[in-house]
Amino acid sequence: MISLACLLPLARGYARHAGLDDDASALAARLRSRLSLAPWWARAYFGAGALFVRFAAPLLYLGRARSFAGLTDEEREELLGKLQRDGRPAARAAFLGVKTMLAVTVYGPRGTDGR
Amino acid sequence: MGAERRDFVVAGSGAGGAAAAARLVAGGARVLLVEEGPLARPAGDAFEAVQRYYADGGLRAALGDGLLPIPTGRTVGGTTTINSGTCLRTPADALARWEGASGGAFSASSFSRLVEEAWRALKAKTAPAETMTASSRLFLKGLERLGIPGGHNLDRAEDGCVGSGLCCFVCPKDAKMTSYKAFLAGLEGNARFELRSGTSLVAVEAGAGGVRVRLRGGAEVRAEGLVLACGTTATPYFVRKFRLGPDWRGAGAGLSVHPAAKVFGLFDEEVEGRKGVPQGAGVVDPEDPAIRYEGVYVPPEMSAMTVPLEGRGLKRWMDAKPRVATFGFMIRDESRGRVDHPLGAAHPVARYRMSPRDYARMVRGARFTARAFLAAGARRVLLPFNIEANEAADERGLAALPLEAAGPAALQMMAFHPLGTCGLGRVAGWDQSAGPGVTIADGSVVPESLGVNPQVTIAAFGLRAAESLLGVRA
Ligand SMILES: Cc1cc2nc3c(=O)[nH]c(=O)nc-3n(C[C@H](O)[C@H](O)[C@H](O)COP(=O)(O)OP(=O)(O)OC[C@H]3O[C@@H](n4cnc5c(N)ncnc54)[C@H](O)[C@@H]3O)c2cc1C
Ligand code: SF4
Repeated sequence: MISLACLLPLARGYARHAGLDDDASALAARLRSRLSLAPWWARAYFGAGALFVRFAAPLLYLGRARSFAGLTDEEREELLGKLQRDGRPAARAAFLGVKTMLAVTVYGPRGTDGR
Repeated sequence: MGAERRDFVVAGSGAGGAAAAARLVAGGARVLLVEEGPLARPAGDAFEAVQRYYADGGLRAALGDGLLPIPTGRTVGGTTTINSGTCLRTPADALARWEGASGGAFSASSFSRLVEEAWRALKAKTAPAETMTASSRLFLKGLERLGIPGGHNLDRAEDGCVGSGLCCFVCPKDAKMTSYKAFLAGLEGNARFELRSGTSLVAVEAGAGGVRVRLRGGAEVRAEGLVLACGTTATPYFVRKFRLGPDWRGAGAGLSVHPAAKVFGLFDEEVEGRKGVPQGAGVVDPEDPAIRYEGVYVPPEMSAMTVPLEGRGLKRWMDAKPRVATFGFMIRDESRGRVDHPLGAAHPVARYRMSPRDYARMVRGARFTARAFLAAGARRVLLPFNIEANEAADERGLAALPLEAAGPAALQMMAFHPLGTCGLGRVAGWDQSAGPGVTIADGSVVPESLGVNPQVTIAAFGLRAAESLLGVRA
């Protein structure tokens, strides 16, 4: 799945940044099963969003020609904050889908409200 | 192959379509109900339910100041299958306005009778105190401490609810009264009724002699009439594309959405969010009746995406999740958007911009909810604005948050109640007709932002559409 290949490195970096050092294969399995529920166009949208966050956003938001993986912790924190706070429709649309997948894959299994 | 024949075709099985179909069958008509979505079954978890039973996997949104998600159901029962079940009657002042504007073609008293019928069919009853979530209890406690009266348990469409917290993700106990349960389940086996799920309406030809509709897959059906009940975002496509009624050009405009958002409160005690009825309690703003506060709960697998923070801030709130309460609010909006369909009925493109007055109401709603949580003992509150300073630990900190300056693009909000794109008296006639043979019976006909959760009103419009068709027939 191309979208999985686009999203997985970001999901790993995102989880690590939040201090959630997950088993890489468990993370991949969760991401794959989440993606398998989505229609093809949504998978394409998520994958494109992931590429945007990994490669274009560091340049656009921080002026650094580096990938998400190559940023320092502080730079990543700043980038994620800026992505979250950018209210322009195009920026929101680019981040919404990828955040949906990251949130449900990285934070999803951590629910501790009794279920 | 020749066209099938029925007395009526109903397109869409949500709040309006199901009620219309049931009333038409009860009146002796042969009805084909076509529904684009599948029959819903309880899903593995909330994310799976959203992918399977929400239109566009829950990604439907309006563009405008920012991105405003508009979740809608795409399943038998429509959005009622994934709604919170709250029941409120159509406000009396709205009914009086519609009666006045219609010159008497809309009768408030007849409509009220249908609202009561819908109420009974949905088995609406007050949520018992024991099914109230801890979030709702904390919010009501906060109101009490602030000396604000009016907090109450809401009325809900349910039969055997045990408070398992998943109303918006297909009730696992089959206790919520969806429009399918309320109106259609009893028709199974009735020879005059057929429900065809997984099938959509694609084309309409209407004239004085009746209608001819085409369904996905090529089947054609001839009937005396078509009831359009595909929902506020899809119905205007058919009206415009097939020039239904004299005012088809206006279809798609007039979109109101009841913008809604929620506040998070961090408490010392465990909140156990999912135990109880998510939307079991509410209150109307004591100073501005256009703002309603209602309970809300998002299951853990979905909650991170609704937190207006990223990185370490998000992690902090997610780690504290068992002690985080949530409560929501919505406004009766004066802003209007529109829906267009450059890519067809199933892919609406919605636009919506919020007026300064509506924005001021959203700010008031957020501060009010946060104050109630703080009064109930919250250590911190998190407000639905994507800005750096969106958390506060006390009243003074709350007052200092620069929310007024943030603007609508910063709001983390959702639109659960799209209405009005074929409003009565503007696009549909006051009798809900859209030209010969076509009647509209969904949220699109509601002529103004209602200010209350709309499923009961829409079901009443469904019953009214059917009564008018049966009347014409008689
Ligand atoms: C999460 C959520 C919670 C809510 N909670 C509440 C609540 O507590 N109380 C309340 O009163 N309201 C609530 N609502 C809103 C309420 O459920 C809706 O306003 C109402 O169901 C709308 O009814 P409708 O008939 O207009 O459309 P829908 O119920 O959306 O039904 C339209 C149906 O038409 C189908 N359709 C679309 N196109 C076609 C086609 N071409 N052919 C055939 N079928 C088609 C769709 O698949 C859908 O099933 C909530 C909404 C959401 C999203
Ligand atoms: S609270 Fe649980 S049992 Fe009650 S209607 Fe909602 S999902 Fe069903």
